[in-house]
Amino acid sequence: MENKGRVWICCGNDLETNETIKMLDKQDENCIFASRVQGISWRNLRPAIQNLIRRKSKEGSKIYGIGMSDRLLGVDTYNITSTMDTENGKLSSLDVISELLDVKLSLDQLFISSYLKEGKNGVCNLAEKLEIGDSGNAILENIQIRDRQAKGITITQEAETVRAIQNKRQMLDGNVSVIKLSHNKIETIIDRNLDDNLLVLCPNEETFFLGNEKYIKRLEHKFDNESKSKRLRNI
Amino acid sequence: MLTKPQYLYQAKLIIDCLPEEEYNSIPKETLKYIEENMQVDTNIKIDPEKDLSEQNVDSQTLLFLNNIIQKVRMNQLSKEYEKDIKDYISEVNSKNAGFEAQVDNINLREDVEKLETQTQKIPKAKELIQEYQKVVSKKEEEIVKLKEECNTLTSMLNKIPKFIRKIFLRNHKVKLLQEKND
Repeated sequence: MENKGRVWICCGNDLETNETIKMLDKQDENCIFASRVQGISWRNLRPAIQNLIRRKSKEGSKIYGIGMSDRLLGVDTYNITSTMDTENGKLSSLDVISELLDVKLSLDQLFISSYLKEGKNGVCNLAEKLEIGDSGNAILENIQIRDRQAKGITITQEAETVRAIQNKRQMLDGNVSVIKLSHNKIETIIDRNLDDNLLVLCPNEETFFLGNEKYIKRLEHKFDNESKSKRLRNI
Repeated sequence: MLTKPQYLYQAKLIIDCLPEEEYNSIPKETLKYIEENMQVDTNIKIDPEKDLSEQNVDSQTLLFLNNIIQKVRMNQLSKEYEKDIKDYISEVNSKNAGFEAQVDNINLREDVEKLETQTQKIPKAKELIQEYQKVVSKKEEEIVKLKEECNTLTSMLNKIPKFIRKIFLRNHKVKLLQEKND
């Protein structure tokens, strides 16, 4: 491993992690993908990685953790999270890394950074500022698709979601739409930003509700009557 | 608190202290707006040697200047990425379309498989219908045949002497047959 004075430990399984690793690789930085678990503690990394970190730290390298939590005993580590509040305002992990490496973010990374900081609004606002407001939704959709793919959601699951949405049925006098998924990847529904109040039924009796809170009590009452094992989760 | 014309004047004083490069990055229409709407007030002064935080700068002036900074940053951003924007949007649209096509493809394939399964049942259904039609068409022939047989039997029975016929009529089946033909 070439000594650049920095070692980056990356954890996570989303678009942010992928783009971070890409950026670091492009700059020939020492980067280790340590775990798919977002927010993992330094202490829970594999012993071999912990030993490597300690050794590099003793050699004088700065240790940065992306998607990490806590500290590692005896090592000065710098945790970079998805969003950080600084005196210069909110910064995403991509912003911080680009400043540390003194590299300019690409246009795509700029939009991903906005998404990390402010979600859908961040992307659309940036598109407006760049005078491409008409393309805001398309860019947002693209980022969300890639994020879901990075999280391991397959194209088959995406297709099943589309089919399930087409076959949705109504309850509570048409005020709530019921969607039955054959998987539990609720992000495939959330990202589609449907207007309805949605009751999403997943395998293993996992249930989600998206929409106006006033329908939750009515639904919970209905579930209580049907099965005690069914639990309603509001997103 | 300063009035609008006053804080615009104060902003103008601050802007005039900027280095040439920074001054030139301010949109011309913003400068024109300030010129047209400000009011010179000799009581308002800005010392270019001192930091703004050490001077009496109105909060509205600061807000106005902040907006200018945001505009300048956005203009710089737009210029920085001007060349990349068109290609980026094109790539995004293309990838989104590709994704939708893949999803549609999977669902279409599923529909085709379902149709194929249903189509395989059609020959069997046809066969059953044909058999049924055969039986239905033969039904009429069978009925005529049975009627003829029945009439033959009735005429044969009528030829039998009455007292012997009465013995046979004790059998219900023969009795019914006789009633129907009557």
